[in-house]
Amino acid sequence: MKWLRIVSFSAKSWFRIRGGIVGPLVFLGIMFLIEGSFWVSLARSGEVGTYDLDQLLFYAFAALTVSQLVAVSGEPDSLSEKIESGELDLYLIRPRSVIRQLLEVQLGYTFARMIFALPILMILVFVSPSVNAFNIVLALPILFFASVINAAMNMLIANLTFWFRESYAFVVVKETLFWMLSGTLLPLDLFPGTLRYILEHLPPAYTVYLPVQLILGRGNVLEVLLGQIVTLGLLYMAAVFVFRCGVSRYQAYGS
Amino acid sequence: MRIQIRDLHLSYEVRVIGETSWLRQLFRADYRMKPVLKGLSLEVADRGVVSILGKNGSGKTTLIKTMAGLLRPTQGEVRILGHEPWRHEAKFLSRIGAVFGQKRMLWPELSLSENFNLLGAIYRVPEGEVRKRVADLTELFNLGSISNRPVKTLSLGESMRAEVACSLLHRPNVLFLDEPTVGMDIKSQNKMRLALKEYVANHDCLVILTSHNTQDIVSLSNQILLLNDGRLEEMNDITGDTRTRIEKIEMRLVNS
Repeated sequence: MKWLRIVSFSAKSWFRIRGGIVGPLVFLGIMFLIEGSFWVSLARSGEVGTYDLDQLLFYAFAALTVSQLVAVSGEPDSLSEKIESGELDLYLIRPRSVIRQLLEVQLGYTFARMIFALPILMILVFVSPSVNAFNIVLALPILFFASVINAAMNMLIANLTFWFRESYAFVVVKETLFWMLSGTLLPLDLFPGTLRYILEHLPPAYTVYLPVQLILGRGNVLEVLLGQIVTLGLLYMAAVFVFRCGVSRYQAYGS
Repeated sequence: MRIQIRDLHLSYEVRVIGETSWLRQLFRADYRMKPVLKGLSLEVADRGVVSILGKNGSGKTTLIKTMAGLLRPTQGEVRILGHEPWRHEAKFLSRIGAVFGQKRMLWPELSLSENFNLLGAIYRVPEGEVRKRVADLTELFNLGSISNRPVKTLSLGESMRAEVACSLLHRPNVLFLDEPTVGMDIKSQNKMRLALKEYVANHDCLVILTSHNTQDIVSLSNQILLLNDGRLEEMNDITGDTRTRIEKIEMRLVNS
């Protein structure tokens, strides 16, 4: 059970990074104030799409919390820097797939963050009539898959550093994709017709939008879970393939 | 044969700035191939310590990284323990260890004992065996007082001893050490050398060492390789007046 050991040690190391929880909590507070104010102004005159004001606020609260839970930070987020600086050596000399190791680390971080995120999500049970504790418990595996999918997307993009050296550009690409396409800023079903259909079926939707819909009592758990498994499988294979192609160009900079 | 290298060439892609207009560089960066290893061949069969000597830029680190599988040769053949290292086969990686003096190879937030346990799982060393080997390595490298501290809080000397001890947990048949005593004080250097010497004497392990420290080479090596501008200039067994021999080589490096 190598993977379980890596997951548990990553969770431990996340706890040891002091302030690891402070950043996400401050982010959540500030972003909810901004986004909440925006939705209050916009929905004052009635509904927005299929959402009334309360539902928009609940969505924003859940989406921001889930986005922090599934965020890719620390080791799994530093693949492009590691490729560029030569620190990938640490992972390459071990008899374990680099992509797998980093996904296991992400899973460990998610376990650790869950301890903080779960009570925050549970607030919704007391304030929203459509949310119950059962929905949230049912969404737990979905949230773990969401986190790993997010990390796999991140790594797929980070692998491009093997070909294009300046990794900062990819950080911007990753962030933009996540913010715009995951449903963190606004529910994807507010987009019109075909665009909405496309966005709901792209991998980022499985990281925030669809899990949040389940928490809010919309959508089908099995359908989302199946979609996540297929998405993760495809992303994983693509990330491993691109990594294998790219690693032959690795220059192991530094001493 | 543990190490077989034939006609090894390796070139780095280096970005060139200033040769084209800034406007062109906005759209396309210019790279040039810089040859580092130029037709190097060598064979090492036995256990022991083989030191690679050479001035800065002669290709020592590149050679060691190529043997460890971190770099793919541009041309030529490299076989370590019968494997082509750049293929990163699990079987090969389970039989080698590597420590690069100026890079961290352990998980910084975890304690040394947690790092040992995690590596034990990654290398599939049975738990009972991990306990036994950790006890031996802790004693050998004098790590008892630091085993429960996060690795990131260790001093340079402690950290390097920890890195080397961890790299030996799975009993590699080939261990690559790139400047393992760099930046250490004399006491720490001695501790490291004594521990390595004892380990190599008692285990089936070939250590490939690069170091700018004459003491490391004199006290540890069975064989020395002299690299010059990416080529193997000499390969000698160390016998007789070793120190004089190495000092002569050093003088040549200084004057070349």
